[in-house]
Amino acid sequence: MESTLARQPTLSLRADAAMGIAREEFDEIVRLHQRRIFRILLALVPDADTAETLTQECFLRAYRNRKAFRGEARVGTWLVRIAINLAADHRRNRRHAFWRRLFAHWNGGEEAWERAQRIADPGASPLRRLVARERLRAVWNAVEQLSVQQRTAFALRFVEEMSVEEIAAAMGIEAGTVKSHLARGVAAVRRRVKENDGYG
Amino acid sequence: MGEHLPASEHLNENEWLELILGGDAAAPRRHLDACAHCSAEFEKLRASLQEFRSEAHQAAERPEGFWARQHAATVSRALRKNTAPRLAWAASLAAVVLAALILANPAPRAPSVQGALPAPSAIAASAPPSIEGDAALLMDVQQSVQRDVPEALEPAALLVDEMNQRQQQHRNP
Repeated sequence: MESTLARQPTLSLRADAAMGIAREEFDEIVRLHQRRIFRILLALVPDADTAETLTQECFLRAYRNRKAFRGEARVGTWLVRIAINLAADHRRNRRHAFWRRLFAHWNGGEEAWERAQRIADPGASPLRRLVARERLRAVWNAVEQLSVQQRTAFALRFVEEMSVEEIAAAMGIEAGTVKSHLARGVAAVRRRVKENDGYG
Repeated sequence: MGEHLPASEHLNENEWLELILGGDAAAPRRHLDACAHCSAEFEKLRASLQEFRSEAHQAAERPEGFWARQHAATVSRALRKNTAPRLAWAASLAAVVLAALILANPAPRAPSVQGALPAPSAIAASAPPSIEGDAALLMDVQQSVQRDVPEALEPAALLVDEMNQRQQQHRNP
């Protein structure tokens, strides 16, 4: 399967990256990648405001460290890697973790349910929509139970359709480890879907 | 579609992943062809993952204005953060150069109050004493002392004289 990254317009930094990125070039990088980076962060952090802030921070960090970019990976992969690190840094904030746990306790999983309610399939019958909502709720619940690494790999694969090799490059781990994370994620989702359908 | 296979012969986790990743998964595909149970499960799983992807994309959709603002804010912040250190370095460099110039070319010391007054020796040098000068000065002093009215008050004295004269005329018309 061709990955999302491969389908995106190629925009590599100039060969003389040590000279810095021109403003027009940086403009273009932000314009091309901001939606995708936001989408990935939205899957990795608990709320849209945080994802929005971290998206900006991702590009700022990329710009500040532009001289460290060697051109060995695509700009897109490099940005995803920065985004993953930012999300990890964000999670390490113990105060935030405390509040997230507290809200998760109060919400009782309502967030996943609200997400599942927003399925856009107005043409389907009410029964099919209900089944689909329930199934999607099961997927979200399963994903939220995954470890950080598993969830990251899962989101990069099944939201962004990145290849295993691209995920490995972005996460800085071996392709085999990515497959292992994905296998766990798929198994968890499959289990939840089966339970939801009542034949598990 | 073949008969259901025993559970022990169903697909394992890695085979499920191979199927989902869509690579070369010949053996798992043969199993799907033969197992209605796994085939049905695979379709549900694939549909669930597609819905998950679709929903994740929808959740991240924003109006164009949002992206324009986000883009502008990002670029603006990047450039601002980029120029600030340069300005700080330039200011530091300018301060160092200025300090070096001051140390290399010390300015003349500001004259003190005592220095502002001409020294007696300088007065002596600029105005050598002369007998004619002394005599003229003494004459001038003597005239001043002998005046009825100091020179500076002469206009007032004239005014007073005039007022006295008028008053006298009024009394003795």
